[in-house]
Amino acid sequence: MTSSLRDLKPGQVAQVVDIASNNTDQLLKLSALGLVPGCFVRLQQRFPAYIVRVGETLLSLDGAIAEKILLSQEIEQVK
Amino acid sequence: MNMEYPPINATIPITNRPILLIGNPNVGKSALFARFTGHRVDISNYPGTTVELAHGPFSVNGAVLTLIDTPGIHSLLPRSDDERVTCDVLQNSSPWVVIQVADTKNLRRALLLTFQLAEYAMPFVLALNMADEAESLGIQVDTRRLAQILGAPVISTVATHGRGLDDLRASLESPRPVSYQIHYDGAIESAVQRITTLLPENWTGRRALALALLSGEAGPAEHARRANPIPPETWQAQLASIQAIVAETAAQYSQPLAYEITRQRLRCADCLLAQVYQAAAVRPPTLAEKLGQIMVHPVWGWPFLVLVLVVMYLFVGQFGAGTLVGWMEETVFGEWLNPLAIRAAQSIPFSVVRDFLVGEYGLVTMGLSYSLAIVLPIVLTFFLAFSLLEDSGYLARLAVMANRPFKLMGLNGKAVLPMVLGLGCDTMATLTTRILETRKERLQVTLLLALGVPCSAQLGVLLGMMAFLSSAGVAIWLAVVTATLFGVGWLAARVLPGQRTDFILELPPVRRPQLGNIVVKTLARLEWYLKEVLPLFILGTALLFALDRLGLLVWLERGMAPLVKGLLGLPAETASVFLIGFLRRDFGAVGLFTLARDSLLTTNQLIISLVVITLFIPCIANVLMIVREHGRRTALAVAAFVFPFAFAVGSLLNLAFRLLGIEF
Repeated sequence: MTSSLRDLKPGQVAQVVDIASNNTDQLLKLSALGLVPGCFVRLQQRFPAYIVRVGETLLSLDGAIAEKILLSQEIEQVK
Repeated sequence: MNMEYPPINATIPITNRPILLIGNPNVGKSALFARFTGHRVDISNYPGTTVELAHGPFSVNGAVLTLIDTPGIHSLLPRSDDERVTCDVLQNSSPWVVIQVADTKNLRRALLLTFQLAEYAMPFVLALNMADEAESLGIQVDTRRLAQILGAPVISTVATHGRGLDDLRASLESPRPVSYQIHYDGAIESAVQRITTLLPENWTGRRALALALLSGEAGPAEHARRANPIPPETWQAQLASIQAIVAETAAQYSQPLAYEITRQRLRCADCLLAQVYQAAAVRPPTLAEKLGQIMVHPVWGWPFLVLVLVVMYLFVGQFGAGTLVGWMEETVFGEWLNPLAIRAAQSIPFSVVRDFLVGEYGLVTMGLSYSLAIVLPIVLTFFLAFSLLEDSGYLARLAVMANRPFKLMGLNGKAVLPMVLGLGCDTMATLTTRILETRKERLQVTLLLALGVPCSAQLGVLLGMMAFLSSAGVAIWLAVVTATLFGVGWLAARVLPGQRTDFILELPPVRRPQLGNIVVKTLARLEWYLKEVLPLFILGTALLFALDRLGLLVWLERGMAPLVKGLLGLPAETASVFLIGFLRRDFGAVGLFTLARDSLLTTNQLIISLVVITLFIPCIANVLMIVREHGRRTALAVAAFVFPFAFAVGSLLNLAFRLLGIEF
C-alpha cells in the first residue's frame, strides 16, 4: 500500500515518489512551484486546506490533489 | 558575444535598449525598481491585459536607460497572462541586460528561471535579494562559486535597505550571457539540437525557442518569426519537421515533455544547490511564519478573518464611504463644482445642451459627481486596504480560508480575490476575473458578482437602510442573499460547460508591507479606474438622459409598476426606485430611503426591496464591462437572467411572508 500526502500528519516530512495525475496542467503547475518526485515535503496543516512546505516554498492544495501526491513509506517526525 | 554587447559608455545613446527586472513573485523586484528609478515611474497595462508594467529612467555610468519591472512569474513557458507578457517583453525589447531578482533563501525556485533565461542567451545578472532574511535564517549562499558556475555576475542585495545596489549597478556595465547550460538527457538534448538547426540563424535564443517548441508552446518561435520574418511556406515546412521531432521525442517518455523538461531543470538546480547553498536542516519558525500560521489556522484563522473584515469596514465603510464621500459630495461638488458648472452653463442658449450638462441627468451634476464624489473615495480607500492585504501576504491566506465554502459554489479559493474586490467595485472585479484559469470559472464569478456581491456604493446605502430594520430583518436579508449566491453558484457550476480547476496556490511569506509599494499600486489602480470606469459612468448617464428625454423612462416605470405591485407587494413608486437604482445606485437608494422614512413601506416590504436591489446588477457600467470581457451575447444572457431572477426571489419572499403569516 502506498501512502499519499493525505496520510501525513502535520509536522511530518516525507519524500515524494510519484504524482499520480495525468492532468498536464496540474503537473506543470506543481513542478513550476518546485513540487516534483524526489523532493521532500513537510505538512503544516490539513484544514481548511492542505499546506505543505517544499524547501522555502509554501503551497496550499486541495484534498483532491493531496491524495495524488504519493510518498515514500519512511516518514520523519520533525518537531 | 562581446561584439554584440559593447560596454556602456556615455557616448553611445542606447536608451532604446532597456534593462529588465525578471523574477518569481514576491522577491522584492518592485523595491529594487523603486531604489533604482527613485519613484519616477510610469505604469502601464500591457496591451490587452491587466498585467502592469512599470517603466522608469535608470542611469548606469552616465547613460540613462529605461528600467522595466515585469510581473512575477514561475516559469518562462508562456502559460498565464503574466508569463506571456514577460516573454513578449523579453523577446521584443532586446534588453541591454536582464537582471533576475531572486529571494536568496528560495534559490532553488530562482534557478529554474535562471536556466530558462540562460537558454535565451541574453546578457544576465543575478541579484540574490533579501540576503538579510536568508542570513537571519542561517542560510548561506556561496555567491562567488555560483557566479563561477553560471559564468555571470551574482550580487547579494537587500533592496529595501539599499545594500549591494552599487555592486549591482557596477555589474551592469559589461553584461554577458550565462555560459552555463543544462544538458538534458539523451533524447531531449538531441531533439533540441535538431530543432535548433532547423531555426533561422538570425533568431535569438534558438535553444530556448527549441525547448519551448518541445514543451508544446509555439508562441516564442512565432515571436522570433515576427521580428525576423522568413517566407511562410519555408516556415510551414520547417514547422512540420519540428512537429515530427517533437512527436518522436514525446513517444519516448511516459510523461508530457514540458513536465519532463521542468523536472530535469529542477534536478539540475538541486545539483547546483548542493555546491553553493547551505541551510540548517530544521529551523524554528520565525515570528512572521508564526503569524502566517495563525492566519490559516483551523481555529484562530476565523477570528483573524473577522478582525480583518472589521478593520476594513471601519476604514472603507466608515471613513471612505462616510467621511470622505460626505466631504466630496456636499462640499466639493455641492458647494463648489456644481454651482460653478450651472453658472457656466447659463450662457449656453440651448436648453437641451444645458440639461445634458447640468440637468437632473446631467454629465456634470450626475455623471461626474456620482463617479468622482461617491464612488471614487470608496474605491480609493478600498484599493488602499486591498493593496495592504495583498502586500502583507494575507490575500493568498484568505483564499485558503475561503476554499471550502467556495467549493460548494463549484469554485475554488482563488475566486475569493475577485469576490472581495467586488465589495469595492463590481465593474473592476469583473475585469480581474482574468486571474481565474478557465472560462467557466470566469463566467461563473462574473455572474455571481453581478448578482449577489453588493459593491461599496450599494453597501453604503444598504447599511444606512438597515437602520430601519431589526436584527431579525437584517438576518433574513443576509440569509436570502447568501443562499441565492450559493444556490446559483452551485447550479451554474453544473449548467455551464467546462472544467473546474483544482486549488493549487503558493502562499507568499508574511511580510511587513512597504509603504512606497502600496502607494504605487493604489495609484496605478486609481488611474485605471479613472481611465476605464469613469467613461462608462459618463456613457451610462448619457443613456439615462436620452431615455428621460424620449419619455421612455416614464413608460418603463409604468410598465414595471404592476410587476412591482403584484409580485413583490410593494407600492408602485418603488418601480422608479429600481429603475433609477440600476442606472444610479444612490438615487434609487435615496428614493427607497425616503419611502421608508415616510413610513410608506412596512418592514416586510423594506426587506423585500432590499433583497431585490441587492440582487440587481449594481450599475450600467458593470453591464458594459461584461460586454467588454465576455461579449454582447453573454452580457445579454447575464442581464436576462439576473433581473427576472431578482424579481422571482423577491416575489417568493413576499409569498413566504404572506403564507407563513410573518409580520415584522
